[in-house]
Amino acid sequence: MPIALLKFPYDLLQDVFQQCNPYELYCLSKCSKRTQKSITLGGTRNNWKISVSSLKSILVHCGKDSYVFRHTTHPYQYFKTRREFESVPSSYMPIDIPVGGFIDVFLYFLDTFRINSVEWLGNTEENMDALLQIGKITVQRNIEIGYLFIYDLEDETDVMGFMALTNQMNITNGIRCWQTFPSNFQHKFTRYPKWIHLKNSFWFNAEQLLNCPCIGIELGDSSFSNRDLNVFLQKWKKAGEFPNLRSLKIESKNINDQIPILGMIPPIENVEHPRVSVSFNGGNRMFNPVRITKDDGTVAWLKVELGKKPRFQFIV
Amino acid sequence: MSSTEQGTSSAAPAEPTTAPESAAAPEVPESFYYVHGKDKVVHKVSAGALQHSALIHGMISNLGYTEEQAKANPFPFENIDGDILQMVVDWCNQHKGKPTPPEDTNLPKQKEKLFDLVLAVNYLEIKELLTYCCKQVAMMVKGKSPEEIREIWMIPTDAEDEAAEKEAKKRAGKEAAGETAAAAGDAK
Repeated sequence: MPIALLKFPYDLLQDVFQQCNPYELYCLSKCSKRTQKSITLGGTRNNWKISVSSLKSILVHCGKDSYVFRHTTHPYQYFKTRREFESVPSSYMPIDIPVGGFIDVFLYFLDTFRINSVEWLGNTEENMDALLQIGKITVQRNIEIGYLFIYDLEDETDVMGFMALTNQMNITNGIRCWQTFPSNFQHKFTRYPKWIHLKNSFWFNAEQLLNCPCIGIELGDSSFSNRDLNVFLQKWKKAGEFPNLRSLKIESKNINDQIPILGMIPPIENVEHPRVSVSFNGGNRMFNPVRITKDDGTVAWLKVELGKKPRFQFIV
Repeated sequence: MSSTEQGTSSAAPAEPTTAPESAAAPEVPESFYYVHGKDKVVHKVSAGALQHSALIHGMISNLGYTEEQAKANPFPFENIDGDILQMVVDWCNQHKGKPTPPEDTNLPKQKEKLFDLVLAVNYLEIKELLTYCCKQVAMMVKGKSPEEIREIWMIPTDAEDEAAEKEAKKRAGKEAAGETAAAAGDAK
């Protein structure tokens, strides 16, 4: 027995929409312009978030659940929710994402469901243009981004352009960048999320490290020397410096056994009382570190390893 | 257990034949109120059951009726069909003094009544029942395509909406012209 939903008063429509999940509301939004407008005005149950990592799919996060909208070339499959695999409960909804039309679909989701938060953004070889556009949209609309993942692409030009935009984007939780950059690449962060993980970080210099307010910092292929790390630790030891920092991990070929760090010549580890194991949030575990203390009494753990990939590890 | 007086059709209710039972004898006698819908059938409901309705609860709080006054002045809900009000009263009685379970099985499943039930529950401001009803409405389109949803929820297509809008504009124009002509006639 059908019921005339649109005859419900507006507040009641909202109550009904709030009982619907993103798949149902997406289908409803496709019924007519009027239903789409009603959904936009009605809002959604939770503050939905959106994620993008390819031109073929869009993820909508609603509370703890995620809903996948994936392009299909078979119109008969549109809107019919399917399982990824028979044995896996997660599902996706096949939809039409036209070639060159990804941004329109992305905007449709933002506008129809009034989404103003991005859970994560990730790039692929094919979606760098779209990612750049999405980045600009998030800047224009002041949309918050949880995580940004930049994977290593063959053609780094687009990524270099995109890095410049990251300072305008409101990235709150983390940036993870696997891209290998040319030796003349330069970038200076002017705003930071809670953590950064840069796989090829030669361009991230001592000045940036000394002013970095992150909780977690991971820098691969960096250019830091013993002297830089000593300066960093001297600064850290002063009360009030690096109030957020909990974990720092640096790999650099310039770490050696020539210059002391905090008066100790690398390798630096606790050989007197081994068996100490320290980790940050269950990750970056290090064994037998040396205990060091800040002027205000805060304790931290340090370990410096040499070898093929010299590594500096520091956990507060 | 229902406390309804079926078939009473006057605004002043006769003595009800049944009353809600309570598991333990209350120390203070429970007060009762009376409501009727479009069909004028009067339902006797305890204040405890009526607490589910923010609208009625508000009315009761302001009135301070005696039992006699309450009997003589049933709350009229002329915009609610009698059978719908019956459902609501039954639900309120069943859930008197109890929190509503997440999956309430005490509700009628007839979909043909759902639309009116939702409107009534919304009007009476029974929050928990409204949430449940809205969930039922939402369930109707679970796993359905836009085409199917359009049928289930009687959603006009864009073309139909546009045609209706044009028609409404045309009608409004005609009415405005008619009013102008009438005003001109009056002036003469």
